[in-house]
Amino acid sequence: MNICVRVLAVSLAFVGSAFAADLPLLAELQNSLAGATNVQSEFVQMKQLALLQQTVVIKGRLAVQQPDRLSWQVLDPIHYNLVIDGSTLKQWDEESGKVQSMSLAGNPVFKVVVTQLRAWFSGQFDLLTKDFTVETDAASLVPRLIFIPREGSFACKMISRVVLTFREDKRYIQDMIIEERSGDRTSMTFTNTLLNAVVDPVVWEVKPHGR
Amino acid sequence: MDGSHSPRLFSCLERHRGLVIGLLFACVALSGISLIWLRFDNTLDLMLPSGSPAQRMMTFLREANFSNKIVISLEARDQETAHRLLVQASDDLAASLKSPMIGKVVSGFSAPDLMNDAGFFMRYAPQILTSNDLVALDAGITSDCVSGTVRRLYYQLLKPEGMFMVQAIQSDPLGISQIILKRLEKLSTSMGYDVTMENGHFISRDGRHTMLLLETTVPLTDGAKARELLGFLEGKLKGVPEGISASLICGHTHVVGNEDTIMRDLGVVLTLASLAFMVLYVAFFKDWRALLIFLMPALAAVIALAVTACLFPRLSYFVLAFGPVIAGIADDYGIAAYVAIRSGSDRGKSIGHIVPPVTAGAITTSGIFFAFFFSHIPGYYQLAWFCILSIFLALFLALFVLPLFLRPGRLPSEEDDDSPSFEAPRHARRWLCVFAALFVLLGAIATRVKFDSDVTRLDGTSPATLQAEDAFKVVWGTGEKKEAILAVMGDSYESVREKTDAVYERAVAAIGADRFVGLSSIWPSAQTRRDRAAAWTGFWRNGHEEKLRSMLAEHGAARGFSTNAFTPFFTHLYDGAMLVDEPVSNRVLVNLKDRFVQTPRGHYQTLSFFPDDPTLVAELSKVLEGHPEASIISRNAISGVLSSAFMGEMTRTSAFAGVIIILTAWLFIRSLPLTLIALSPAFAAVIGLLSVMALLNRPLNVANLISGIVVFGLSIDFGMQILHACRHPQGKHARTAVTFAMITTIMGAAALLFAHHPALYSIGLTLVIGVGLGYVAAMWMVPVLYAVLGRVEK
Repeated sequence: MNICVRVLAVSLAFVGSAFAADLPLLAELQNSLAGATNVQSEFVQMKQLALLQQTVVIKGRLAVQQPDRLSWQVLDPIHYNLVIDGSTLKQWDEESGKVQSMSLAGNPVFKVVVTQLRAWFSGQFDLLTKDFTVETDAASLVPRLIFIPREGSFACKMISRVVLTFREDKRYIQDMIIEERSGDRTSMTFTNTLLNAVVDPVVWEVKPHGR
Repeated sequence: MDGSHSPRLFSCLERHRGLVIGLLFACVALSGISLIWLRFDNTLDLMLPSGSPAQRMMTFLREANFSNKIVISLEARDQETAHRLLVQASDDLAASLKSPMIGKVVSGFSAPDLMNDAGFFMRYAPQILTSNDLVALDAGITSDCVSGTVRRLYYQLLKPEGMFMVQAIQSDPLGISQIILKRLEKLSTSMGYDVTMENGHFISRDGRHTMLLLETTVPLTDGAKARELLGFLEGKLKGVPEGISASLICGHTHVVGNEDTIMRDLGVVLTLASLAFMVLYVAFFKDWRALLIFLMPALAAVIALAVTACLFPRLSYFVLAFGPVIAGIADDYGIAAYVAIRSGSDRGKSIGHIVPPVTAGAITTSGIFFAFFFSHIPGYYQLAWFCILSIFLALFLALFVLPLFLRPGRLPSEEDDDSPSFEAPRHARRWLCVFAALFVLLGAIATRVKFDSDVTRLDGTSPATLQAEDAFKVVWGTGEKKEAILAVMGDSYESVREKTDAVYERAVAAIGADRFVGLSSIWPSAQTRRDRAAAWTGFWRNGHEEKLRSMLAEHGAARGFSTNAFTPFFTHLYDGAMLVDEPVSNRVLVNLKDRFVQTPRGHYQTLSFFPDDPTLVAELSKVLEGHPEASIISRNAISGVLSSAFMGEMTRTSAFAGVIIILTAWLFIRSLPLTLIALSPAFAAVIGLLSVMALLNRPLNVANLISGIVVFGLSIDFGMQILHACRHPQGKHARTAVTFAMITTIMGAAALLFAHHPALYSIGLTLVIGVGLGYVAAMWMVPVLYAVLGRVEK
């Protein structure tokens, strides 16, 4: 894995352990998401970056299996697969055509990556509350949490806020918006979400599939 | 030495009996009191040749191998609550460790803080990158390469990591930070600990342990302070909460453990030896005054130890081990005096008769230890002083003080015994052939004995401490990889860093950057940073900046990058070339310097590491020619260096001992064949000892070698006495005397077999086997040899 992931990993090292019991909605949503043993969803990610002339649209699939499996597939405009299974991380991309595998056990940096991906997409929000304050959006008709980086946290330098909107039944995330201090904005919308459905074992294979 | 003055001296002392006894007890009391301050050196430095490469290597390793570091490992019993409990316990314990003996306490690092500090090196990459790195950058600034780079950056944006990568892509499209990060990773993993960082704490891979790293001001050589330090820490560790257990890993536990083992051994050995001597004397002589025979060498040893301690502030524990041995050797003089007085009618005359042979025996025995003065090993010096002083003091006390307490005329006189002093053994020539065959056989077996130069095996640390260290290695890794060390010395920080940079460049050129880890790779000296910053500026101003700018614009546009996508890179291109002072508060640099830069004895020293492979050691040794300030310490090579140092020392010391002993023997015998006969038990004892060690599959260690020389000398003593008995009718009781001397010497040595300390045990084992064999050879070989060869001389 290259430097970008390593830097990402360290930049994501704002892992906390305090549980935000003082925000009922946060606890409720976390409990609700914890009820799902697995989640499969399609996503559309839209990146509006000053770096790029046009908005980039990325389509893919995400699968989370409790307690420690996560699959991230990008289907368009490139093909890329990432599978985290227990303490092993594997990824494949069409540019290199190679599968890269590594153990998280001896690699604290990647352990942080996995912790973060699980925290956001498995609903383990208590892991985030050390470095983010969490607010609810009272004006929203659907459940919505706003994560604002705490002063002094590493995320504070880059991110102005992360907004998570949940489905009405509160069982999974509907969309996620990351707003950066630079003005860049990334949104991620989840569609066709399946909870506790049978997961095709091929999902946990990192080799190219779903093309 | 004819003993004619002895009666007069004795009668003088007899007249002032009270004064003599008073002075003796005053001396003993003073010596005893001074021993309260006696400090033993538990390190093996004193047993290594002074100024030898072996001693330099061992001293270096002791000082470099985290001698001022202490690790506290906390273990949670319950996996479920481990993390929370460990973090809390670690924080509480760290906060409680306030003492002048404790310096820095580190429980872990905050990942964001570390990232921020690591970012410093990326910002100042222009001062770190070498000319080779610039060559590689130059090769990457071609149309094809830049096109590939842009494609890679675009793909990154589409992956999950892309959510957080925009800034990095804009400010560092060439991935220069990656070069720096790789080097940082390499340096950080060179520690060898298997550790993860969670919530700013060191956490083991199994998640059930955390550790605290402490620095202490207490040197390993200060046993008393080390004990105080351990007491303080153990007190604090008792306060860890329920569900958490703690273990302490540091060199100080070895120091205190060794001292405890030695003290325990000393109590056991001296008690056992004293009881055995007292029972033997009383049972044999059936007279309570015979206990004084034992008291004389014991008092002599106390005074000799005090004098030796005055001469050498740091005494080796080997000296102590020889206490009971010397008592077993030096009591012969007391026995001789006791028997002479008790079987004579006049104390002065009796003493006069025994002065010449007893003094000759003392001189011969001292000759063994006198040879140690020719050694370069400080411990041998101390041993020589202690043993020689003990022997002559015991001799004086036996000849002139012991008689003051004895009454003459209770034992049968030697003149009453009319048995012949020597009868030639039957079939002497056949026995000679048997002995010769046995000699050849044992000699062949003896060649199989191995030498174990690993002096660390003579460590008397308790099994509990060693088990704790093994458990620590299982949880946290070894803490040190099997790496050799390249050390560079200098007088100032900057000068040593500059020298290290020069060595680093040559070393990397010789064995490759992948195999050589040093601080120069990430933070060179100020001068080197200045030179590299100038090279960086020259590189980009020399057209590379414009070339890259236009290529990124061209290929970036094709991938949809905006025109100013990489502007941050060019805006800050020269920022990192601005020279800055070394950041003293940068946690990454502070921790790296802790590992790679040391200040032993006020000097500066840098360490670099590479695989401990003989080929690489040879390669780098060539590189270091012309660099006297640099040296290589290879753990694999240490065994060979120690072995060669010990063998050299032993050869020289043995040669001197041999010459002195043979010369002394010849002076008393004045005949070459007879001298050879007297020497035969010594050769038989040494050859027999080596073959027994080979048969027991016990390699020889440094302790065996020292006691081997003593075995040699004592066996000659036996040989001379039996030869004397063969030649002179008045020596008819020599067999009894030799047997008694053997028993008392072996008793003193055998007490060491109850010692837990491996060095003390080794000394005891060697002496028991060697002296036993020397006795057997003297009793049976010498008469045979004398019957066959000696009479020709006569």
